[in-house]
Amino acid sequence: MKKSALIFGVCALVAGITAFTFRTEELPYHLKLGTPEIKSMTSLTFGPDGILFIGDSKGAAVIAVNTKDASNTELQPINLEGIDKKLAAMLGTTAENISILDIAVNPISKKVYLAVQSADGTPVLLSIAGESIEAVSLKDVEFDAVALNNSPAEDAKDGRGRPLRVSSISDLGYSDGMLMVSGLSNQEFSSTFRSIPFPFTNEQDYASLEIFHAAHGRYETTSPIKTFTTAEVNGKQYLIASYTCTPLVLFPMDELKAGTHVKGRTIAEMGSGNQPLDLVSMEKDGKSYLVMSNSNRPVFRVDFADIEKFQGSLTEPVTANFATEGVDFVSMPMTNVLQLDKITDDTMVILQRRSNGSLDLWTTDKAEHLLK
Amino acid sequence: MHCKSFPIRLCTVHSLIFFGALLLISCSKKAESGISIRWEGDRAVGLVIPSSLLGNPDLTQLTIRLVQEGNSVPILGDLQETEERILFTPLIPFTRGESYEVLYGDSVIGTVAIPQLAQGDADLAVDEIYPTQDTLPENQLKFFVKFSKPMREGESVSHLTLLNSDNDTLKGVFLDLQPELWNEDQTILTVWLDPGRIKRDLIPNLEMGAPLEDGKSYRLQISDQWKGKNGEKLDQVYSKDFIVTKRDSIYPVPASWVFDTPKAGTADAVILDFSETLDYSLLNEVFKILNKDGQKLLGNWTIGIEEKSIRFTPETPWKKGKYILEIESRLEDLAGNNLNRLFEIDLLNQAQTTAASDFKQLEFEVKE
Repeated sequence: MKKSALIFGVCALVAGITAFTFRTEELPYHLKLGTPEIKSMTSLTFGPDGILFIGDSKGAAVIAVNTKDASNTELQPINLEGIDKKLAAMLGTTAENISILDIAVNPISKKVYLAVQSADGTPVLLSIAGESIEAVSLKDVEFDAVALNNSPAEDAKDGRGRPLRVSSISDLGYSDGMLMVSGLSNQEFSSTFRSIPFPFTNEQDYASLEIFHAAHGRYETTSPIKTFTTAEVNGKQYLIASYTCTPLVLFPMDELKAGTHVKGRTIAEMGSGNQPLDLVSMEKDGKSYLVMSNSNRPVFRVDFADIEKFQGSLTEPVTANFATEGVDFVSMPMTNVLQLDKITDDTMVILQRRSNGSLDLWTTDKAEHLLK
Repeated sequence: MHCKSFPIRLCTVHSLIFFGALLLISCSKKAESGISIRWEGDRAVGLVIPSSLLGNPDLTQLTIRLVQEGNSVPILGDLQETEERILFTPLIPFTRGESYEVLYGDSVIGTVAIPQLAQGDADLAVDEIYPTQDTLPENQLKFFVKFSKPMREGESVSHLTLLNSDNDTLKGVFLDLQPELWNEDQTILTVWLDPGRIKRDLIPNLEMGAPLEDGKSYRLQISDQWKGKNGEKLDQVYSKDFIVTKRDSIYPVPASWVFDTPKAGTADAVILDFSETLDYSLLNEVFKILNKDGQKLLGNWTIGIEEKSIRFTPETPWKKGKYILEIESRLEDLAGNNLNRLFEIDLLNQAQTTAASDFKQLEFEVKE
């Protein structure tokens, strides 16, 4: 008996040491060391502890990279005029040969990350703190990747869901251990929205939703999501999304389950000839706001209290009045805002084409003038 | 002037007219003296600097920059040193038609011009605009533009226009999507007509109406200023004229399609006639033929005239018996109606939906 107890003890010790040894070698979030293959960088968003998610539309994948940029630092205000010209010079070309496809702020270090693409399609990741612009190397980094397109063979095998044939990742978001991906197809007019647990697992069975939009309760289409954010409304977590056909829609997060026909509650329509570009939720003096940039409208601001109060839904049939409907939103004194992200609760970073033609990257100053 | 080298000094004392010529001469001289361009296909991806040019260099002193008035910004990239040479790889390839100078400390040790594309390499054309049919429904949803070479992204808004019969440009008809929807090699662009205007009862639809109107004629025009990935422009203006007819509110029904079946023992094509134009891009992907054992047949699919039919030529001759044609239900017609549902379903008239399934199947028989 004693002997077996001893053997058991030794085994337990060995197992313990082995487990401990493995643990010390294991990278956070099951990341591995290497150089990820990245064909394009079309969307960026930050996860926990300086993990950057890079949406690769051409590679139909999302890559999680540990930037190791995770020390809490004060925001250094940014005011870079003619940023396209500055970046072009650093890349050895002229401004018309580069485009800034997305920006994301590391919420811990407050550094701004930029996904830049050259005319020939080469992707470049840069970071900005204050006036300093640096290249972010993606060689020999800690990373993991998740493929978005199931191979046709895989589909045929078990008929599990429809593959997400993403031509373009329209937006990425991260909340509570879930990476959310909205995609647009270059073929069918359909909506693809997936939530993928992070750390990534080998399970390929992500929640894949078909999202519909009904215009005033009458005509229903599957509607691609252009941009989204998450927020708490009346104590409940919601996905706030904007469609390519412009309405702003609220989905309760707990209803976003795989294989369901999900219909959002329309809270506003923004009018014609406009594309929503970015959505963020901001706070000022204890009040929450949803801030939205647009392709052909000034930046809008919606008070969350109005969203909470708005019990109606534009999915009901409407009467003759078809001006901008739903919750009240206020135009902010900013036009031609191409990219927008939140730095802290009351500051944002903005990429704006000024009226003089200059493309500027700047941070708002405590948002005083924005949230009046 | 921060440049101290011979060629740059020369340039400053000569008139502007000769600037370019002299620079070229100086470049070729430098190229002879050793700095060369590293090519990957037709992209200039690096500069090779012979170590002999610098002796025992301190690499932190070595910078490369774009030759541009007032520019002193070093280019971001990697420097790798071997015994014979130093390789500089910029983050993005060097730009055609631009010149770059290599500096050691403040001294220019060489200038390299990246040549423009040769004439023959620069031929860039629009191969086709889909749908190829010249009559389109009022609720037409998308166009595909197929180019002969990979194109630059993000420029479609400025190069693609829709004109009415008076030759006026129609505003706000296309969905301005960034990033744009390209296929993987960036030769086919998907362009959506604004779905917010097509979808009935949405504000854009109520305010501006649908992008296309029944009975009217239009021209889709592609500017010759649109550039390919290497900076070359389209060889000419391209256009597609079409007439608009009434809206298409019927989804495609495979059971109504007509087979033209081959004879057993031949490797002739089986032809499937839809009698309406279907979506070009999806037609390329959604079909599969299975034999009686459920095995997929290998062979070639070809889309017919005006995307109204498709033919399959097998690699091995047909055997007598029944075959299954499997179609993914996501196949759409021109108005975005797929095999399961209409682009927009009238919720007051639910009879418009069919039983949703991922695939539809049709059977055909090959006889002696």
